[in-house]
Amino acid sequence: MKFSIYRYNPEQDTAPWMQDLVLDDSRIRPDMMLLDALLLLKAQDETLSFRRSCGEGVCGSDGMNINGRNGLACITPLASLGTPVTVRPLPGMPVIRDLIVDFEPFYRQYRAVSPYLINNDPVPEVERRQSPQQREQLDGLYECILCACCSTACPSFWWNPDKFLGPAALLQSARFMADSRDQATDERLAELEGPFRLFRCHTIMNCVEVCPKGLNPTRAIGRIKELMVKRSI
Amino acid sequence: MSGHTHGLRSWLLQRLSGVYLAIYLVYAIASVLQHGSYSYTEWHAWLVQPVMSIATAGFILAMLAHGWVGMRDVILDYVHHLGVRLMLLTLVGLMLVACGLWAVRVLLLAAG
Repeated sequence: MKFSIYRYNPEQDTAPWMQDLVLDDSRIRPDMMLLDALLLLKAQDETLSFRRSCGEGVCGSDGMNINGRNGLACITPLASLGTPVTVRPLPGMPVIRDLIVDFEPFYRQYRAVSPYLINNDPVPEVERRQSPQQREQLDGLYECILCACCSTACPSFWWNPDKFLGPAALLQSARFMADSRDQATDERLAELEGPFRLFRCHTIMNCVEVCPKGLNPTRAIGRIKELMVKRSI
Repeated sequence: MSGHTHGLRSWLLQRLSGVYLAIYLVYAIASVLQHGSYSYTEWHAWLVQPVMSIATAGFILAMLAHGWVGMRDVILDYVHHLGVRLMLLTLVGLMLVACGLWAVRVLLLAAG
């Protein structure tokens, strides 16, 4: 099976280049994921660098651009991919080396939405309780693993990564607005005003298309807009 | 450019003007199709009915607002140099105002 892999080592290379690698078909099992193949390729060429950790789509470490589409290598079946399999780093992010990108622009926007519960009541002796219905409001929002597949597939985030929060951060913002225990919805909404932070979203929906957890950041952004309209009238 | 109220307001303006444009266009096209061919006097009579004049004035306003938000979005997305951005926004604004004034002139002339 043929692979074409983005390589860039800033200490040696003047420019990024694509490396053609071949994995012998005898080494490929039918149930293999792309990450397994990358690990075998790394055994062939140890300089190939990428992040990975849990290997089952839970940690979000191995987000990359696979045949032009962002996804997690560990849950992308090799059999589903056309050859040569072209693997590149997540688009629009500074490359540290090969498939490893600098997540700082992504995390900066994540931190900007205060992604934690804000509740000024005295801490209760037991946990802050929710009814099953209140808990249900968080479904489809809390499952995000911060792999950055969505934000780095978003053209609005490519053009304005410093000003537009991006789908991942906005999904988190919606998650805390929807939380019955959070008391800062007004402040959160006020933070999102202005033409850039939220409103660079043009409902392109690449985020929905690529999310490996099947989440829908566009719908979450729509909910935020609804809340904003309600709050303003 | 950082006007904190200009996100939601512009977005709402774009949505509402879009709805109005869609309704007007569907109505205008349907009524033209239904009528078949128009002579100048028939066309003129159609346009100068008070309801139609007001609706058309509203259409022009909505189109200018819609065009402004849309062009502003494109410029905010792609043009990052502040000076160039300001210049382009000014040009688009001036062009839209000119189009608006021209349209008002046409409407007033038509109304006689």
